[in-house]
Amino acid sequence: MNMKNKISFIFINLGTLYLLFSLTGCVSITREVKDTYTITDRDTIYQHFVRNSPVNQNQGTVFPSSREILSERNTIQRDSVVTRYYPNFIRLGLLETIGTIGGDFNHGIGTGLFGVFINKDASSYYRGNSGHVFNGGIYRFGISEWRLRWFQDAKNWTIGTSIFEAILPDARSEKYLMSTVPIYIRKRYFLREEIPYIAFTPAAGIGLLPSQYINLSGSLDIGSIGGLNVRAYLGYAFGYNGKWVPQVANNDYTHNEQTVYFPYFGIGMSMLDFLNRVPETYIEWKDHEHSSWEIGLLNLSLLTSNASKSIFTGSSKTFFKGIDFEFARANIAIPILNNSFYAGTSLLTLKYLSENEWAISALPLRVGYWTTLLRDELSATPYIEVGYYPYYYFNIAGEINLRISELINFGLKGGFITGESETSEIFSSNTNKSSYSKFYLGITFRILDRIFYSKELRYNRPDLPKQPKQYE
Amino acid sequence: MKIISPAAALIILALISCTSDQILLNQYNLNEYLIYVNLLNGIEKAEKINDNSLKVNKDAIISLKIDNVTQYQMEFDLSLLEGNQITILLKTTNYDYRERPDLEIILSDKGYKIINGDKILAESDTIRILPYENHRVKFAPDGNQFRFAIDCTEFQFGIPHQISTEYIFFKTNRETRGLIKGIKLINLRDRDSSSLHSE
Repeated sequence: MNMKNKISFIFINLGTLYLLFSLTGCVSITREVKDTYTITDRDTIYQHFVRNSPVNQNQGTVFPSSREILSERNTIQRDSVVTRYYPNFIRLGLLETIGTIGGDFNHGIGTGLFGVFINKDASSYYRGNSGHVFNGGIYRFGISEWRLRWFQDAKNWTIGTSIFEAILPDARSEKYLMSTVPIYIRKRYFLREEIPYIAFTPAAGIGLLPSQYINLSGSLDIGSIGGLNVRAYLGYAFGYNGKWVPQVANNDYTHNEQTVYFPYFGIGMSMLDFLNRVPETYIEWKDHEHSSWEIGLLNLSLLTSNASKSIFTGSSKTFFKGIDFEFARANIAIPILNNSFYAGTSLLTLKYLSENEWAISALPLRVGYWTTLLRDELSATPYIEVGYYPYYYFNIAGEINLRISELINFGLKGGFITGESETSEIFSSNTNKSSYSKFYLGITFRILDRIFYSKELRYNRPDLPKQPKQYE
Repeated sequence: MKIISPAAALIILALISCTSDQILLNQYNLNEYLIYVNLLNGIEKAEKINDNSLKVNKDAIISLKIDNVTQYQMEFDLSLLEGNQITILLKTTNYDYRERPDLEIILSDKGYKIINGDKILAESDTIRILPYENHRVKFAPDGNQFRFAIDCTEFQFGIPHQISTEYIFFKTNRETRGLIKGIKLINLRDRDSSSLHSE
């Protein structure tokens, strides 16, 4: 890295840090409003005392009565404090993935629809090949947007960022445009203002570190519902990768600086990605509309099954033989019958029953029925789930869930799973496939997972949607 | 590396555009209570003139909030820049505004009027608020008592069963702009300042 590049690197770092500190100063997830009401009560107490003398007395007109009246006037003030919580963001999301068409077709990655059905052959040395429809991808992690009040407070402008963004035109890593905390300015034109929202969103973004780039795009967005969004993108990203950026400095094929031009069309999705319109930021959290029975980040189960060996000990006598892991789960209520049926998916599932009996799947499809057993914390749900990529499985199962808090749940699960796996270690290129069918039973821990009560579903709340207060 | 210059410009633009719908008064005077000015119907409806003064623009509804202070004496200089009426509303909050009877003080070129729900508590056509005239306004919700003074006219009345809040609303009509200058606040529950109040 020469002196000029070093100075640029330092400036960019300082700029990014400054931006981070500045942004955290004016943004937060929840806005808290605490109001104190003072109630004033006035009260008068009359006390009557009659002290009769032990002997007869002449109670004539000149003799004073023994009755005494004490009048006491009090003013009592008491405070009543009410705290209200409002969302303070326009968008808050965990992960957005986009499968793109537009890079070099001879070096296609094969990211698949939504950018999540990634070619199984991809590795760090992979330079891509032809024959893929979605030859590139865009990935954003930790997304946030806040209201941008400019142009005389024009509607639906936002400024946002993400913890990390990667724009991959194709499999050549020197062409990757990657940035921490890229800044995006977006304007949404809502075509539908009810859940799920539909909006056309032009956006302009800039990434500074380690790549420097500009990304201009327009997207048709559907969502969010249960934190789930689908988007179609048309965009153009262009930028520069210096010799010192990791994707060039650590590249096995070239160490030359790169200029990247990347026009693209993409189809993307995001999970645990929540969108508020501006009026919703003036409605208390408790009155927000919920469409899902369950939304969660991490779901880990310990399983016992009729598999031959435990993955933990290799023994057939170990009680817990496998694990079940789910990342970013959503079970969205279907508003038919009593709203108890749901459709769901997870960003990634791993069902590892034993050494050669496992499945990984992106976006498996799930249909189930949600019922409350004991109000309101204990619920049960039978469901059917199909995983199809990269490995097929069919799972018919049931869960009993105990809601511990809004963020933590505990449960039991059991079911029957049949599918295909490879007779090798996970992620190996060995393609010897084998089929399996297993019964299983397990205990489940869910972290950052919220189970919604029936009364919280928007379909069960005729008082929703609420409108923000109008000041006239 | 030329791309860095527009990047820096965008960052600066982003930072200055992080506009809030709140103004802070008494931000730099640690001896005074911090006053939050909420711009309820648009961020252009009021402007901070100095640390304890602000300009209220046309057709504005703003609320001043002093955290945890519900029994106070507030005084300020009021002058209209144009128009004919400014209204002060008390005993309400941003959340409850117009939901229950507020205490409403209407200051206009026709005089002043103090209304509580459907009851007129005081009314006069002798003191009129005209553009570019300076008027000293002072009021104090103190338990069930409410003291109000404009210029040299002062009176007090009881308002039973009314709940006090931390908010003071100012409302202008479509023609009126006004200056609220030198806002001074005394917390009546504060023992140290209660002696000031009695002076």
